[in-house]
Amino acid sequence: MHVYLRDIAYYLPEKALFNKEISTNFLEWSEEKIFSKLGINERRIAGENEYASDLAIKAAEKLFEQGACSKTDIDFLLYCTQSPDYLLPTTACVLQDKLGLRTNIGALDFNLGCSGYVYGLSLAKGLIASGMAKNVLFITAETYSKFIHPQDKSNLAIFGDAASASIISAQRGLWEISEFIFGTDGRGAENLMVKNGGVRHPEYSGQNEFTDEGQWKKNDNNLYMDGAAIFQFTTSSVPGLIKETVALNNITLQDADWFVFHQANKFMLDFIRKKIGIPPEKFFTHMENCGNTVSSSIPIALREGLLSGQIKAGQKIILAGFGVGYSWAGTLLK
Amino acid sequence: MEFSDFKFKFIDQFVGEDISTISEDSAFRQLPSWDSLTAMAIIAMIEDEYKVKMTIDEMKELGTIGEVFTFVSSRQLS
Repeated sequence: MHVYLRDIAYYLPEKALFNKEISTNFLEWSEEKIFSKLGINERRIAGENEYASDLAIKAAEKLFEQGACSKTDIDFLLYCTQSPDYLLPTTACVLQDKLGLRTNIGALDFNLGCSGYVYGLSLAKGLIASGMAKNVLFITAETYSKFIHPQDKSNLAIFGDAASASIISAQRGLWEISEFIFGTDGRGAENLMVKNGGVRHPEYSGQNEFTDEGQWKKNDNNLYMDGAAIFQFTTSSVPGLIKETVALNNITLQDADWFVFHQANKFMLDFIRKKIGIPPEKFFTHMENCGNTVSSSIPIALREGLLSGQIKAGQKIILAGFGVGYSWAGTLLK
Repeated sequence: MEFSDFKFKFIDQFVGEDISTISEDSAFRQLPSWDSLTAMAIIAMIEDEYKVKMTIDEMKELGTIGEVFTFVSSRQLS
């Protein structure tokens, strides 16, 4: 059975954080340096009383306004987030009610970060190909800003909050979803982590830790990212992921019209693009105005590519998601 | 292993830098775009292209492209 990605919408919160503000607080970083390294000028930050599920609702409502599908058509809801409202219930149940979806549908959360969009497409495709669902609403939403320590300049500069909503169904749409390659390596779990606040370490008892040079390093209450380890993981795993994804789908690198990867940051994407040998004109990036939006970065890039007319329905697009876990996955849209 | 080729690949890791002025003796850490990410990119490039594994601490000891080139050459021989 052919399964299609029919439409995508996304939502960014209103409050903006510009490079200027970051360079004012961290004098060693100029506005220009942040932009030339990260390719990011602005990231959006959820309001104090605004949570990932609020962004999720806004993205889904936009999707329904775009008209590809109505609320009553939805018979399964998948919600990808690492910023759930509660430990339980699953936020997807709350979203079903707030969005006014039918009650005779399936709904569940799954916890993935930067690989989440590709994983969600695979789950949605499986539900439809097996005949268990006809129209899957797949939402991604993240508010990493709430996890980031105010002295953590790297993560402040990289991550932005956002949500996306996609419809996957057997009805013809923008692209057919092809075959998937998956990867998991939990040895990297501690390199990108929010340690405290879960069941294993429930107390927010973290202390600020500093480097030998006296720079702020980490606090277990907050998001921790070992940039060097993540760089090494990405540069060693993504080229193989792309090679396998291309081979599994019986195409060559040259056959692909576009490569849309998780929008980690410009520096890392440039490095892996060169390593794989992808020409810059086929490598779509969109993070200048929103930063790294975790599981929403691929759908935001796809939507912006469509809106600008660069990416077109039916083109061959290689997607790759990779990050926290470690977790990675790739597929072909065509 | 040619120095000119090594230098080209080394400088390629500096994002948005005016590379025309960089020479064998340039102290690359003084370049405006240098930071810890650049170090990671250089280490990854050296492993990919020259099959030499270099640690961050070993990298910290080296100050010019010429010194890094000598380090990589000697590791390739040993």
